[in-house]
Amino acid sequence: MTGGSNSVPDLLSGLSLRFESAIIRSDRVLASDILDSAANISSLSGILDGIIAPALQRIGTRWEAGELALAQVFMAGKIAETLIGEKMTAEGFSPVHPTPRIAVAVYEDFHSLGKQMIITVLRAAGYDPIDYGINLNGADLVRLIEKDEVDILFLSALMLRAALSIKDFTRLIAERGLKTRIIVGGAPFIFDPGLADEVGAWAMAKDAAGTIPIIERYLKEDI
Amino acid sequence: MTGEMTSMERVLTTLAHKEPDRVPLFLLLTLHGAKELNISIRDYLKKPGYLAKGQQVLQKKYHNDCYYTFHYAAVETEAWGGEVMFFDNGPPNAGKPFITASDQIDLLEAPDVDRSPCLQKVLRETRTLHEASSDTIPVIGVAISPFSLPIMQMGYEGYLTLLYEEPDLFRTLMSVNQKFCVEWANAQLDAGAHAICYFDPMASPTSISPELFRETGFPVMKDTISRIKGPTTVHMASGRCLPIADDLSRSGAGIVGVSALEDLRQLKNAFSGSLTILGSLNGITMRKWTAGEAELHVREAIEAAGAGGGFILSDNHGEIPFQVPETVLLSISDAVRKWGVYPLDHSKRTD
Repeated sequence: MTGGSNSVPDLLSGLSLRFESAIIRSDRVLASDILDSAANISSLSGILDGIIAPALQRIGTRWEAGELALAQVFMAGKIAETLIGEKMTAEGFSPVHPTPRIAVAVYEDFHSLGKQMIITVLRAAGYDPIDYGINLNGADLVRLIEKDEVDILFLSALMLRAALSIKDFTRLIAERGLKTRIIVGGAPFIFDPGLADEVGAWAMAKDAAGTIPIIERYLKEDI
Repeated sequence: MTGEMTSMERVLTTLAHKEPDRVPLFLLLTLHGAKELNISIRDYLKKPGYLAKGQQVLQKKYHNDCYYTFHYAAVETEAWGGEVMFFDNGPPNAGKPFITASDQIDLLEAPDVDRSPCLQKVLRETRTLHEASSDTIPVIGVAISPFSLPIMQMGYEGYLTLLYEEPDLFRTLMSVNQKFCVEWANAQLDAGAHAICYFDPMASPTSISPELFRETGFPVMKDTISRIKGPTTVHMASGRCLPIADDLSRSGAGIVGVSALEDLRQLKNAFSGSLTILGSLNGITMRKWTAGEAELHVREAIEAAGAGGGFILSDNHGEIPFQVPETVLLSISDAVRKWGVYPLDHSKRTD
């Protein structure tokens, strides 16, 4: 198939819109059927890049605009992660994107929803993030990212106090000469877009799906 | 100024959607009292007497139109046996969720307010503030809604999964939480609180879709508020509320706490004549404001929502961060008295 509306990219794009609609409505069966039908025209890698990642990014954009609720984004990501996990297991497939090395953590807090949503989106998009868990401080994280040679660390913070103390962590990273990129996210950063720069973060993700373009930017700059 | 109203008169007038002498100001400060008394946050919140004393100092200093008995959100989960983590430079947080498996829900029992030391401590401060107020300054108590408490009880992910996938257990949890919420709110009213701020961020369209809210959180909200024996503010704690404005107008609350993420003019129109708006200064950026910026934000808020009453100036979260400096709070307070005097005149006062 070449050109016109029957090209594979066009077909995947149309399926991505249907997939987005299905997972927002928590219709797992329909979402699974869409991925099965896509398997006739594309590899799993193509499905991840052509259907799932764009759907999750659109969902993130709609959340930012206030069109969707956090719960819808969470449940949509959870369904996408489960489905892609099943398909990978069935095909004996390893993550599509083994690099960069990515980790996710919650900074000095127990609220783990943001972290979990990032992990879900990244896995659904074919990445293999390390889950560092919740309530970590700067010293914990320096030890972990050194050990795992992490390229990108996504840090979630809910409280302003925790968000501000990320500055101590980024200073520590600079002192140690580590090249790990720190990406922050969470409510304080949404209410104050200047806060990410203030704490020395490399970037801010407004939502879980916003992590994917940031990884793409990192890969471009790292070449 | 002659004929200056008391804070209570000012607030009651605006609640009646009439114009008082000036726009009421609710600076919802908690931890700043520790700074004023030069003690640690933990001592301020845990040792008897300090919070009531701190509130009185803050009220005088900033011409605040309320006393706020809020200690920390996790005081409620503490009463259920949950952990609380204290910090030197910010509010205490709830520790790990204490409901780790949904089958625990059937066995849950609401804590007895009379036997809970942490809740009794809040009630003692409430009584002290009620006496200090002589019914001229509203004393505002706080209760977390039964629908939002599970965020701390079982974590957000666990709760969302319950909400979507286990409706029977969700109803069981709402039942036990509602019993507690009503008892806790009414105990505060009995102790002298004039109104209850009913925090319900889970109800916000930022958290769940309006459709799901109407199926789940709204019936809980409406029923719970009807059983609280005093006026209530339904507060979204920074979450949006415009898509559910009509529902909130029918919730039984008299005031709605709104988000800086939504346009104040639109909010005023949406709630016009039904609910008084409480908000919506951005508490996160507030810590960096200059005096001029503070004045501008106050002026813009009053211009957007002040006309005709039905408006109380406040922050958008229900608690001003510890990091907001005294200079900014004084600038906000000055600006309200400059720009918030009725009848409003947006063109004057460049002095």
